[in-house]
Amino acid sequence: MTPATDHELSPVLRKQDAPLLRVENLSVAFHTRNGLVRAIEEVSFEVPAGKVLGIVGESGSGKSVTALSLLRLIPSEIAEISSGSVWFGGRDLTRLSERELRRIRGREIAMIFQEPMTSLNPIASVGAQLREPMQLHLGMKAAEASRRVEELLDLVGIPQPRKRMTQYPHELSGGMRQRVMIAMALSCEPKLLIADEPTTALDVTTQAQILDLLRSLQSRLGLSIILITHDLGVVAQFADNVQVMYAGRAIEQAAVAEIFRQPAHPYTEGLLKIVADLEAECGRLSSIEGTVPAPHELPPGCAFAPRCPRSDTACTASPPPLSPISPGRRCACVRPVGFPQFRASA
Amino acid sequence: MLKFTLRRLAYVPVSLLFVSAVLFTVLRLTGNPIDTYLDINRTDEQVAALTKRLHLDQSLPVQFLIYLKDVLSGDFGQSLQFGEPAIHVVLERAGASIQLVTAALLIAAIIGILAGMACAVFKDKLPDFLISTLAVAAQSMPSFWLGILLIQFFAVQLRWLPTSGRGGWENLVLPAFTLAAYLLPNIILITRTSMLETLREQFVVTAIAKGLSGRQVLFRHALPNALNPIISFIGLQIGRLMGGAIITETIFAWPGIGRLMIGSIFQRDVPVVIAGVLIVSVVIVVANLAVDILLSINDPRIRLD
Repeated sequence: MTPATDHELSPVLRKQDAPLLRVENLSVAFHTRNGLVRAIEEVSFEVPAGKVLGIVGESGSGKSVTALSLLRLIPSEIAEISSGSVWFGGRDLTRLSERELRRIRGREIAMIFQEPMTSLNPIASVGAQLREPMQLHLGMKAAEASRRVEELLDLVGIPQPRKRMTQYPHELSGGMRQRVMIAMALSCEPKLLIADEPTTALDVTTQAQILDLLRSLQSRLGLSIILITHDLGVVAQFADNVQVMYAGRAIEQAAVAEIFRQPAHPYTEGLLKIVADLEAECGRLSSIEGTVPAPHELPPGCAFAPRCPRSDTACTASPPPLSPISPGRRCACVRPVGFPQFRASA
Repeated sequence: MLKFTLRRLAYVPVSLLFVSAVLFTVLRLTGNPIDTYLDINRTDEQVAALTKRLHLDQSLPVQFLIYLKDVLSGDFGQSLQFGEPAIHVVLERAGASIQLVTAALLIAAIIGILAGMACAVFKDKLPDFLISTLAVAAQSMPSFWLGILLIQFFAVQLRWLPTSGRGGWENLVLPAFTLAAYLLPNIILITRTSMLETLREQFVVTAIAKGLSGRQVLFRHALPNALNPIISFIGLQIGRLMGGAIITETIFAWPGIGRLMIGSIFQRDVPVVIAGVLIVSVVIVVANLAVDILLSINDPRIRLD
């Protein structure tokens, strides 16, 4: 992984070979007592084969909703995809029937979640849960699947796989359970793994181990990963490209090295400053004044404008679109940091 | 698992000893047994003979030990009404009760769990509304009325099933459904609540993300996790219905233990009452044991405590 050269061939602009996953103008709305409320709005991004896309944002920024919506995992009575497409292997996942989508879930696109403590069925053995996707998608018999479970547990670094298979989730630590989830996700050799804050619920040493594991599996298996996180440090270590989300919109997209060298959106700049302060261990941490606005009280203009040190009247008219500011980079800001030549025609 | 079962088994004799002690105490508290067994026209010889037979001339602790020995050997004395050993009378009726209660619980469990699941899956939609309304209606319908309606329709008009008595399976259908109707509303509501809670769990999302169909998610992952309160409830009902299904037994002339007990109490048939209480207790204790074992088979976390 050499991010500097990645930038020249930035996947966002590399149109000649189709990306593994392309999300176009995806909007998701939740049903509430006050009618439909937009949780994510017009989100577009691509995941090239074999690459890692980090999606970063605070709680409520819409990053998890984005992840769950790709496989339509939010029940239709709670939320609906109001517009947009999710292109994967020539098919638009938003238009597939439930039956067609089931053949993709777990087989071509797999997912792991934030809470390894609650993501596994507490009353089924580890082995039975790991065998299930292979019996379902690959038509394996129980004995064959069991042999493969052993290999998988070994692959994700779980010692004594034979013993672990017969155990139940409550007999495993959080880190072990997340390894089991990873093994389960990889069991049918999917092309894409969606990892929704896979390390948030784990302690720091375990976090590092799980990330190392994901990274080594990614390079060994040539897997594409969408990594949802609120941790810029994780993104820096792990991702090839980044999308920053704020109040339901993608506000900046870039190669990792680029964004850390020169953040373009004032919000990204603010986030990076906090990380820098943490690393420098200086006395006072900087913070971004205010909080993320709730989806039903978004301002008419840029959602970040009320907290933005650079905002002016141009920011409050309408939300700035995500526009290219340099090769491979997009930013949704009328006055991006460090790009004085650029002025969005918002 | 074996260790768990053995530990639970150890409670069985303790529970039964406790029941026997309570029963003995109550019997002695309710007055002189002579007055219970013999009527006002008794002779002194009869009193002397009974005193000797019941060991009333011994001290209370000795009486208790003799009573325990009799209980253990199944000797409760002759039934005053039937003139045969009380245990025979009770065991025959207990068999009829177990048959009725088992059939009713099976019917109620299968229909109730399926209906409760439908309510949870279609929460606040038409099926939920219909089933919940029917459940409330069924609960407010007394057994004697439902029983009579069923007899009127299926036995008298359609002539599909016998009106009453015990014989083949066709005799069992109407009383079993009547008793099941009484249990059904509770099982539906417990299943609905438990399922709704389970369906909110993260592992359900994991199961969907694996690519399982809605039915597979429901029956393989959600239902087993929602089952514990339902198993516990059904276990408790075994005890209540064994001796308490008197109305259903009466309407269908079902020779169950509930009716026998009521009759024996009025007839002052003390040996039958003692044997009946103890046999019902045994059934309850065994049912509780079975529930504990079932729960631990379903949920491995229970084996740890």
